[in-house]
Amino acid sequence: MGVGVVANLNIGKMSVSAFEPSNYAVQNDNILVIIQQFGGNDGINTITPYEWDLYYNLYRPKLNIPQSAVTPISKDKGMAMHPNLKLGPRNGMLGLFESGKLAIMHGLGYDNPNYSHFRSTDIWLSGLVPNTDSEPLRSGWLGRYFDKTKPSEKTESPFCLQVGQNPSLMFLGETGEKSIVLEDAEQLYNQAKSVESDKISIGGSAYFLDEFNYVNQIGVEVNEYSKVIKKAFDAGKNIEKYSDRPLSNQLKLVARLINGGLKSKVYFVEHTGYDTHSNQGGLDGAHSRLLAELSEAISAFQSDIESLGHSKNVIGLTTSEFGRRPYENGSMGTDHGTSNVMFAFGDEVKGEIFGSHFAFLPFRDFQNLWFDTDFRSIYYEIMVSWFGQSPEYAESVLGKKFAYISSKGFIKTTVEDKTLPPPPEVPKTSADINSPDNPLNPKNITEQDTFVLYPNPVPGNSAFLNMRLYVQADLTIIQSYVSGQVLGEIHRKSYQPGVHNVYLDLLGGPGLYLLKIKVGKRNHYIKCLKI
Amino acid sequence: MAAISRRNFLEGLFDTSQNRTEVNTSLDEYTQPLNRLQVRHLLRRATFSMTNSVIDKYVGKTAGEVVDALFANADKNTSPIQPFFVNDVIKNPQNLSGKQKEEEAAKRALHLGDYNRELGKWWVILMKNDRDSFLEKTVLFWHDHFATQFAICDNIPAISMYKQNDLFRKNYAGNFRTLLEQIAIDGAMLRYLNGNENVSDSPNENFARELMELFSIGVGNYTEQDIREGAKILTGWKITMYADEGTPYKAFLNPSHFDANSKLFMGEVFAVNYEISEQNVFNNSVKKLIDVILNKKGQEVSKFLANKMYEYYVYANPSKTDQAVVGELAKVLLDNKFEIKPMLKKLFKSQHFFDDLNVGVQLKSPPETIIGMLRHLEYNDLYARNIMAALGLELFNPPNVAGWKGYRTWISTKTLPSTIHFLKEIINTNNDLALGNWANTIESSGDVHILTERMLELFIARPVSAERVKKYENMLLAGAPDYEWYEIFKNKEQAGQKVRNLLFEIIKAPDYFLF
Repeated sequence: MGVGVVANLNIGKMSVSAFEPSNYAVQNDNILVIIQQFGGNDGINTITPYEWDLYYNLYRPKLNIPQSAVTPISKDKGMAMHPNLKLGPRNGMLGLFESGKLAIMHGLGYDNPNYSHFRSTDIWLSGLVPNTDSEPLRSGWLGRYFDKTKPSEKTESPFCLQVGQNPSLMFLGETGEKSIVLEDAEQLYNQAKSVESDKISIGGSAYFLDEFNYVNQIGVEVNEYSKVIKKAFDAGKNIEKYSDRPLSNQLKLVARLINGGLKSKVYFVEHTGYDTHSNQGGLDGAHSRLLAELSEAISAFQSDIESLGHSKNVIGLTTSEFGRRPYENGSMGTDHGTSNVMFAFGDEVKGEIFGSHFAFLPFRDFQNLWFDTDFRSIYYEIMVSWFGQSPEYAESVLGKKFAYISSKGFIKTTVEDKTLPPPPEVPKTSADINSPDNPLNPKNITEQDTFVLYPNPVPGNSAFLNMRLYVQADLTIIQSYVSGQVLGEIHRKSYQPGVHNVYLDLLGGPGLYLLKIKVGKRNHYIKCLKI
Repeated sequence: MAAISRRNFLEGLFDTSQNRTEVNTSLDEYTQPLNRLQVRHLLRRATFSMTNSVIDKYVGKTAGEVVDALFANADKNTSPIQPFFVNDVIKNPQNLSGKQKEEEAAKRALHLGDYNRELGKWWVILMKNDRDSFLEKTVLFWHDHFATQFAICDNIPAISMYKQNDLFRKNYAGNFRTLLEQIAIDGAMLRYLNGNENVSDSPNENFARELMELFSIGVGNYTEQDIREGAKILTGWKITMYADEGTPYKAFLNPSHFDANSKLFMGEVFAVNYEISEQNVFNNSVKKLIDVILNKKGQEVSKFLANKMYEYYVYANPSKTDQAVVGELAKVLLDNKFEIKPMLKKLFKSQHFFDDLNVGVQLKSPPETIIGMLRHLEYNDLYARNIMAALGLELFNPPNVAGWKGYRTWISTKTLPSTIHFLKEIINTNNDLALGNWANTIESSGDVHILTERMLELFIARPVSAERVKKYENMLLAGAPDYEWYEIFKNKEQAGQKVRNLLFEIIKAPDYFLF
């Protein structure tokens, strides 16, 4: 393709040329199914820390999943499953866990998290964590993975198949889309008949040619792949019963295409609605309904794949663009957070719990958790263990190597690799204001609140009081002359613990004054010179 | 005449060596009289649908004349006929009982559902009829920029969506400051980004964040502190859809939800040293917030907006060379204190805009394909709205607050076959006679060469090779010698059948999807 697209992808300091197909992208028959929980799944209410008082009293006083409703899955680790995760064939995802086919992976995230929905989604899909917010993310990790394919190994089947409406960044490579998007195999086949299916040579300027070739290529691919997909659809079947919900229907189609002999390596389905800023609800709420759909779909799919005889070659993975904050918000919902839990399922995954509950991780700021496994560890392991690539190949896609989760990894065939870099370090102290390890926790406070007035001397009447409060308190500020004679009260408000900037409108003319700051029962004094 | 124009038509065809770095980056006015190809280039970027009569009108005029005319026409049409439901007020069913409650609830359901689709139809008609101004294309830009979806948990009523659209239309090329000030208290936006839940006790940062990230400054050029303080400054605004709960669809201030403390935003103090009234808060909080953003981050804002407009109107994947042009446009915007029209006029009259490298390089969005076809053929406008939705652009319902991703996402393995499928449906809604009669509206359509050329001009931006022209002509002639077309064309039904074949062939071509 044209100049703009050919540019080398610069990941960190490493330069990866999209035009050096040095390895084979298809090493075995293994297939990956990705379920994108779009919107940011609330992992804390998915796997609940069911014996933790703080979960019920402090973080989720309104939105907790009651202890009496959940099913404990690890007494030691204090983890239980949301009751709706036992819906679906053979006891749903709980059944999968009990039969050793569900990996529950905790604490996934990345450093310097971005709270923008779109940016964080792009980061997860691209598999790149850029240094600056404004650096554009133009390709996805699987797009780059299949960029490296040799022309000779191009199979009849598309590399990736997305069921749904919109092409995901995940499959966009430097050399174009690596996936086919479809909702309905028959429809695609019928519609593709009238698409221009010949490669056309044409004259024109470089950029026109670039775009022309792009459209032309899409047409050629649609035409070619629609036939292959239709063939697989006609040859394939389902055995298990699925519920009639969008996610279940999508996975049903995936199972049928796999059974019909489609050789795509990656299938991608989307489950939407996880952005639960408001009305997330409890047991009967929106989030719980999503988990019911998830469990029904995943368990039916796994059962189907087993009955159809493909379970040695198919694993599934749930991903979401970020977790949600431990503290619920004021609108019966939860806001974008950082660390999260992720599931993998199939005969070939280790049916275990990895890590301790991510909700026990320390806070990195007042609201967000640290993470202890980089999400790219999972991508890295998939490329090496599941797709059978060399570590260097995987490194060239992600820019570096990543430690396997809990160093042993979640895929059965993963071999421990001592040369991998260490997992991310997690600081000992939590910035959660209510954490007992947090020196700022009011219970740990021996020091007094701090107050700084600026500017000081104050030109005119306007000044700011920068204050750090360790406990919630009613604050009153009274201005007086140094003699003690009071000019008046200049501020009164209740404040939460934390750092605040309070604007003050001072009284009187130039001169030296005292500000008496009353915080709860304590008094502080600041001298202030007005000029 | 045909021969001469075909020579023009093939101009530049064999110039294949041009590279993006060679693009003319000058924003100086292009002063030559415009040829057919250039008029079409300008009209395609300004409107969703072209007709030969408009093209004919502008050939030979200068860019300055045509651009001024296109803006003058837009200015005249910013108050189109309103949708039928805009004055239909309702009461809150919760405050009623019995039959009245049922009636109002049914009405409410219409406002939240069907009327939003009717509103889409209303806009489709406006887009279709606007073939001689910048108006509707620019209104869609703003809808994409200040993206607001009607379909959320509790849908946004159609009148609110209409009012927002009207704001964009009235200010389509006005001052960006006004748009920012007004969008902050726009009813649909207050609902969409939870501005109406942004209260002093528990500020909701949703709108404040997007105001900076997506609407004005761009990601990375502000701090989390700016967002927190910005949210506080914007507290207290409400909207209702019910006539018994205030003036419906008009934002108002609830003083008890407004944070009366002083705030510090980007180093500026927002003291509340005034009586808390709607007008005072709007002037001293909302307008001041926008003022501080535009003053402190003027460079970033002008760059952000200029770049987005460039991507929308010129090329969605600008190179480094183009960035220089964007930088100059940003300067024009800043120098004109965020008045948008001077910047757009500068752009559309420029040598850069008319550089051949910019012709036919944009990927068509659903309105480009669907409205472009609808203009010429008979089809149900509501269905057209639905087709656009199926292809990924549902009017009044962008996928999220970031708007449509655009560029190559318009053409995917999913949308390419379905676009062709739907276009065929539109064409097939018209019988042979109708298609023949349509072809007859094209001047000199009795000449097969002219008819082919004119049809290609309507749907394909750049000249096509002589070989392809031959192929297309043959769709009409079906083997007959060219002079026989005149006879064939006398039977409009027979001609229409051939026109259908040609249209089917045109909509398959990869360059049909470029403009």
